[in-house]
Amino acid sequence: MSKPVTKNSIMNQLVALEQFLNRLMEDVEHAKYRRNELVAHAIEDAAASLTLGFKSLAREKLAKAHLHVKNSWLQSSYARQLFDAETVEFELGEGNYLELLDVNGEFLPAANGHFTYLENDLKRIRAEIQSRSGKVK
Amino acid sequence: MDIFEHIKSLAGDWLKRKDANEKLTSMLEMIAAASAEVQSRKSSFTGLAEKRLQLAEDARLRALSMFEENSLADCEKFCERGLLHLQIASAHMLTEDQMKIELAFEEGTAEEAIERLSNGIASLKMAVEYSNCLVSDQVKEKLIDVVRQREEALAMYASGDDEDAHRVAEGAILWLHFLGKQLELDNDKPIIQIEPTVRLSPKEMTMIKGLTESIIRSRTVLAVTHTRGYLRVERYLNAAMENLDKAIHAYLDGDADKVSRMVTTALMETRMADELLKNTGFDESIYDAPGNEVVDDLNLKGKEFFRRLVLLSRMIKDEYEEPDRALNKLDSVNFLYKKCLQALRENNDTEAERCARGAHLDLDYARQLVIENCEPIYSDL
Repeated sequence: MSKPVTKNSIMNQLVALEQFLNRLMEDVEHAKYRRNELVAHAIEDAAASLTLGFKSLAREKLAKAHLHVKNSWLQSSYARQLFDAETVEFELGEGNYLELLDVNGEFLPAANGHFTYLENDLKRIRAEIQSRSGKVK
Repeated sequence: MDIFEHIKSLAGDWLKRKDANEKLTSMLEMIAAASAEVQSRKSSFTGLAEKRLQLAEDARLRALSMFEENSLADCEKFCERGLLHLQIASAHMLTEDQMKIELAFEEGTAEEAIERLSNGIASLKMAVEYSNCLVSDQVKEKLIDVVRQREEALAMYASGDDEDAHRVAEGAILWLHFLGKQLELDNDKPIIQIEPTVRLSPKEMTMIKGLTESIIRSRTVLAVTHTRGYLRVERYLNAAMENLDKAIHAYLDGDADKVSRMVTTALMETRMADELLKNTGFDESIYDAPGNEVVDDLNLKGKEFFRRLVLLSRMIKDEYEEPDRALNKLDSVNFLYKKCLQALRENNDTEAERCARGAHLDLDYARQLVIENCEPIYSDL
């Protein structure tokens, strides 16, 4: 059974969420390498739900306030996880981010990536053969 | 008592017990005291507290203006709002470390399904970024759909339409499960497991999950055996995919009967694809157990080479305007690369080098066609 919702419990959730969102926004701002639209949208929606939650709480509409707070959490936590995934790609990867929004015109870079891989593999294999047969260039 | 402790401890009816004049005076005093304290005290969340204090001051001014217009109910409303801002500001000032969010969603609720879906999408993205694996256009396109479905579920949930939100979220989780499997198939390595735990109709979910596994199995065989695809098999598998989509939609509509019909039809289509594949036979020679470690290593790398070649060929077939010339060259790359591996197995380095060079030249030719969009020439590589 879930705990009963009180004005105090919602206020605590609201405060915690505001801090969570604030930290996320700071991290996103510091990450100058890229702006992810999906993360930005989720943050905007989370902030808007937080404001609605505050308004409902001020009017003592607890059920509504709780709904907005939960909605805001779903968006903030989603945004945080997506942002963290982008950070991993930035630090470990080749800047080849997985876009989760409709972006057109990706054929050429993707095809070029495959061509480059295949060509490098063929160069490597040829170098290995030449080295085996003592014909190193 | 500390001003922030004091403000935070004020009971909900504290303000209600005062008359309008007292309310406004108390608000003014508390805002002034809190603002002075914020300036002199360090906290991790001073910025947030300052914003809330500013909002409290705005609310107090609105309350004052209502008071002047003798609109006492509105005056009280704005005082209440101001007090809530003050209390939030105080809570920020009283915490050093970020407060823990105590929000746990009950199992089997719409919000829990949306949370699972959100976590699934984010985990899949994390796995892709972490492993640097390839994501085919098909997977990407469907993934974008899943992200859209999540937005849809969230909007339904926010408007109080819990049941529909729940169904949409669970339908999207089923897709996500499928995409996770497809991703592993495309990359030939374990990447992510997304459990298709759905709670609304477990029986239908089991049927859909079974169908997903069958389609993936057939696609796996197809990908390994036919580098340029096999139109008849693909046609059956595409039809099965369409029926999978319909089954998930029927699941979303709560139409168990239709789920059953769609799954049965799709399973028949998958079986037809399997039969065709069985009759065509496998081309497994390229993955034969090698005779020595060098060849073993070459075979491992070769597998990745073929996988990339298949992905590139499909991409060109789907998206390049006149794909035939490029595809012919890639076929030749495929043929020569296999011959190269065979020659290496037989320790025939001269033949291996000849084939590798030929593959290299053909690949470069195809690259000039597709990427540089010019009339290609063979250059010495």
